[in-house]
Amino acid sequence: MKSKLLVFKKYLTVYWVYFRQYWKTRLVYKTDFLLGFTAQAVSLVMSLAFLTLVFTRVESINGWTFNEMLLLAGVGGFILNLHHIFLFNIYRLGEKFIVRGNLDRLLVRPLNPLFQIYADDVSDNNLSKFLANAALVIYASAQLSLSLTLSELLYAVGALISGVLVFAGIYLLFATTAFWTGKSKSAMWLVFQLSDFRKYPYSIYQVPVQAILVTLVPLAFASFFPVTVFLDKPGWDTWQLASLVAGPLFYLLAYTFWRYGLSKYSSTGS
Amino acid sequence: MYALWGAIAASGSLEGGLSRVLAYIVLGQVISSSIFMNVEKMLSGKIREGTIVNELKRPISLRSQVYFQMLGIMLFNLVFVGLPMMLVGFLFLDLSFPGVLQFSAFVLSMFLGYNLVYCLSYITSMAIFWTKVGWSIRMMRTTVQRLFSGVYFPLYLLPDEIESFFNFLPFQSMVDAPITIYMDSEAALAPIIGKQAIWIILLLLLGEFAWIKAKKKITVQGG
Repeated sequence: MKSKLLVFKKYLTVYWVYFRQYWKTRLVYKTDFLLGFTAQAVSLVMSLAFLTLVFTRVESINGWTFNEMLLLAGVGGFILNLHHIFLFNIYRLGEKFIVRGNLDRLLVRPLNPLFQIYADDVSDNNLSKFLANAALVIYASAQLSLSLTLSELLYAVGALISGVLVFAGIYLLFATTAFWTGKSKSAMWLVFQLSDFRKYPYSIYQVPVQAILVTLVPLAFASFFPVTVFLDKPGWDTWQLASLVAGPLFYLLAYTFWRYGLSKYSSTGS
Repeated sequence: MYALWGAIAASGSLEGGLSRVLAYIVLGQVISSSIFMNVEKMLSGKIREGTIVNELKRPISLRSQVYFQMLGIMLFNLVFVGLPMMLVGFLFLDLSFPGVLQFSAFVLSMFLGYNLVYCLSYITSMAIFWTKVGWSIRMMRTTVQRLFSGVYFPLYLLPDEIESFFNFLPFQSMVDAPITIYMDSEAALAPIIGKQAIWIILLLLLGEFAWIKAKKKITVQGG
């Protein structure tokens, strides 16, 4: 137990070193940082504008009001962008690490290679979306006059951790295919497209789509099911509890796949 | 998207019903996947690394080089993405053929839309000569363009005062204009196409102006 703790402490220290180095290189290119920050904010504003336009036509979608939809989009976006800021680098697995042979460098170091990939980059341009989504959650909760009980608060923390792991699992699972294809960006592009499904109520989708959203790409555990807890939507009890364990389980599964992929890895030799 | 609009139609009344919305969305996808291109991506690497000098040495203007390269990409996307999508529309979403004359006008309008996207993208690319990074500029332009052109939300569903604001912007002429020609058999062609042409000329001039300014900013970074 003690040695596990020491290992954990070592990894934290190493991460902190990586993190500081990253910001030093980043702040050399201030315009890039600022423009990226703005671009992400603009894209969030556009998707909110879309939602507003939809609600000029209808009172509610499938029983969900505008503010409830805002909360749904906000919670999903908050979790997704929290994942993106720290764990996004895996999407470059094929192009940056495998094809260019950078993975070899990571493999000879006495640290977990997956950790090194994660630590290598901080996706700071997602910071603006992260903050905006946090604001969105606060705004929507105020509009809906939601208040959290203690058990709901504990649930929220659990669902947040689990949700981040859900996204991490999805990204890891799809990126790992790069061990065979050499490319991860096209598989990731598919995930990007699918991740829009988190913004709308799960119940509007047809059964095949619903099935995918709880199995191969289990986004629903990271947005829809947890949100129903706070909005007291009936009928999702089992799913709500499952959301707490879905993340760790799915990540474990993806990690096993990653280990398998890594065992099949042969260097490009460049 | 399909599920979303289905749910919206089920919870409220949409002008012309769900099938009209879906036809609009499919056409929006056909058009945008064919004609939405980005000059930013092509130029940003070259500007950053300074290899843009190779383009500038050639005896043909940068603008024409970019234009014809984009034209090639557009034709490729049209054949391999746009047309199959349209076929899906015909087979599964009761999209109907509007008649030869109207269809030709649609194709013309779509081509003008392509030119308009090109002109706008060319202007925003000029900004890269100052910023040296392209992806964020490209992302801003595309997300704004997608919303205001009608790719996300059919413009005919907008409340009146908002619709007139959308119509005032150049984006409407990129996607909504050809769709209107396709779907509305009573639409007057001349004003729609005239408006597209006017925007193209305006943005073309603006682009020339931006290029004159940008030319003075070229710095070749290193060797």
